[in-house]
Amino acid sequence: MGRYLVERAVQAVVVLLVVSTLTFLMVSLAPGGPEIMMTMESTPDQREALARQLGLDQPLAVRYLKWIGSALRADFGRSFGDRRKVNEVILERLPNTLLLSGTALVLSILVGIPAGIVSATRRYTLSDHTVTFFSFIGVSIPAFWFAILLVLLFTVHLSWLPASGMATPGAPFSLVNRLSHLVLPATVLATATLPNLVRFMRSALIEELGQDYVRTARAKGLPNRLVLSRHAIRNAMIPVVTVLGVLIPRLVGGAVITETIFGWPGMGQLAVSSTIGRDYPMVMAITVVVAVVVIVSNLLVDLAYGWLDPRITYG
Amino acid sequence: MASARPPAGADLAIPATPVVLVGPEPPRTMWRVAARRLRRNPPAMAAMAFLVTIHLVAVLGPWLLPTDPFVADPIARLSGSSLQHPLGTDEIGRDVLARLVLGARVSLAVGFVAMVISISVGVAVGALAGYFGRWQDAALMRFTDAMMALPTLFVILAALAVFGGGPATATVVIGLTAWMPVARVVRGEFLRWRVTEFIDAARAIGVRDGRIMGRHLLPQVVPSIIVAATLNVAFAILTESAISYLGLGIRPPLPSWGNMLQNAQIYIWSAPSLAVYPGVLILATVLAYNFLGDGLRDALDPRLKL
Repeated sequence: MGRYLVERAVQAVVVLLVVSTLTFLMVSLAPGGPEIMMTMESTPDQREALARQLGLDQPLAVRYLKWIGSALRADFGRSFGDRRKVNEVILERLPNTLLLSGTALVLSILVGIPAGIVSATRRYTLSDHTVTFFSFIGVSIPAFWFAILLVLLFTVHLSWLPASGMATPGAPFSLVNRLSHLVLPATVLATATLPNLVRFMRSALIEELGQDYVRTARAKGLPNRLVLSRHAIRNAMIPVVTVLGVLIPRLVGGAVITETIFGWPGMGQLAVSSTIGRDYPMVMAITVVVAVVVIVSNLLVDLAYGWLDPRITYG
Repeated sequence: MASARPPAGADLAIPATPVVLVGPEPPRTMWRVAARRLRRNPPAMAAMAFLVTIHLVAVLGPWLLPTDPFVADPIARLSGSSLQHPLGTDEIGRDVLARLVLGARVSLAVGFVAMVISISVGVAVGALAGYFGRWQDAALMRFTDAMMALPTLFVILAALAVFGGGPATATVVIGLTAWMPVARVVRGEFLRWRVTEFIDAARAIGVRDGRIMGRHLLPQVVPSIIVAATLNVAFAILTESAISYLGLGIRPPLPSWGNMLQNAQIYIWSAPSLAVYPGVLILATVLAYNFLGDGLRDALDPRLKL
């Protein structure tokens, strides 16, 4: 167990190193890199002063090491936009994104697993075809367009749910209020991951149902319900856990669109506004922090995998 | 595939009577079997018919339509359908149908070029990793894993912040965020095939690495590449529409289905149809590509997991 953890931690560090190097190189070497800021300054003197202030007069390697060094201390400098500390802004935004993506993940699992089970146990029936058809719609529908349709229905026509923000402005915090603001964005975000979960659960369960132990269980007269719940579904869940590792990046990435449309003050919305404002320190920090979130959640998924399947040892 | 070489004796005088071969069915090649399986898959065939139509519209439509998609008619803003504007006009009075047709060309072109980029990079990385193994494999696949761990849209936004928006950058960036699954599949196939006897034989007679990869191993992954290409077009069209919707991809006045939806929210009360048409077209096209990709996977290689 210990060795496995160390191995995975080393892998995670390598991935992070690659990610941060790529981010740094992209921002530093690009034609529209930080130097573009300087074209706005009028005299060569001012330009030089700003370059020194931003540390751009030093060689690339030095700048890189400095950036890595401060990033390790979670210091990403100040935003080009409002001059606030980048890590403060991110700490404000990150929990909101985690709340939104976490809810969407739970929603995907609660809907996706049962739908996959129905699809697999009633293969080639109307319910299977219906589930499959909606899975295809789910992967093919543009998230922002789906969001517009939902707002049109639930906010405009029915006025059941609010269309934007995390809470009603001015109102004191209440759980009901927060949840009502969470429903639409979480639904849209879950649409990105739900179809994959359904398809994967379906094929995993179909594979388990063809196994000998299922036949044995049926032969000894175990009711079908128990064959499924005690044996087949449990085993089918194991590979499904691995697909979560693929779905988490997608969920976090989907937050970009969802948060922008629903005015959810998270990392995705921040990424869009920083991109439009060419706020490089912010963009770099967001990329690295998002990568850390994804890597840590993948590590957790891996550990859950071992906990679900006792045959796996981390030797 | 049949070679173009003329049959032996083709230059000899041949009797004018046509030779009709009656006998056994044509040989059951992989492609024939796949084509037959595909023909028996109604959703995939319907998807293919739709895609042929929409691509014809995209290629020929802008030439055939009399209306100019860029000319604004300020008097007829947000008008409903009329004889002059069959699908009405947008918020500055441009013809919606003409913009949808030109938008089809833009969106489909971005999807196609981004797919070519993602497939090329994916095949190159996967082939090198799978063929050479060892440290090349380790290095390339760690890099692939790192790219896979990153949420696509955040990477795209970071790249657009640096390189600026616009059709060319958007297309390249989308292509460069979709190659990883292709690389993994190609690597797996190369690993599997490179230890087979026909590769040993090729190596034994002194065939060079590049030729073994291109002539002997690559044909083995063509089915996987076709499926991946179809699914990648779907992904690219969807991604383009998202970043254009955010105002960072294709920028007006050039229309794309995504940027036509940019203002849809604002005018959703006065002109809901503006929000409907481009969205339906994106959904239908992406859906068709996904159905076709799924059908091709079933037809070519049911084992394939992409």
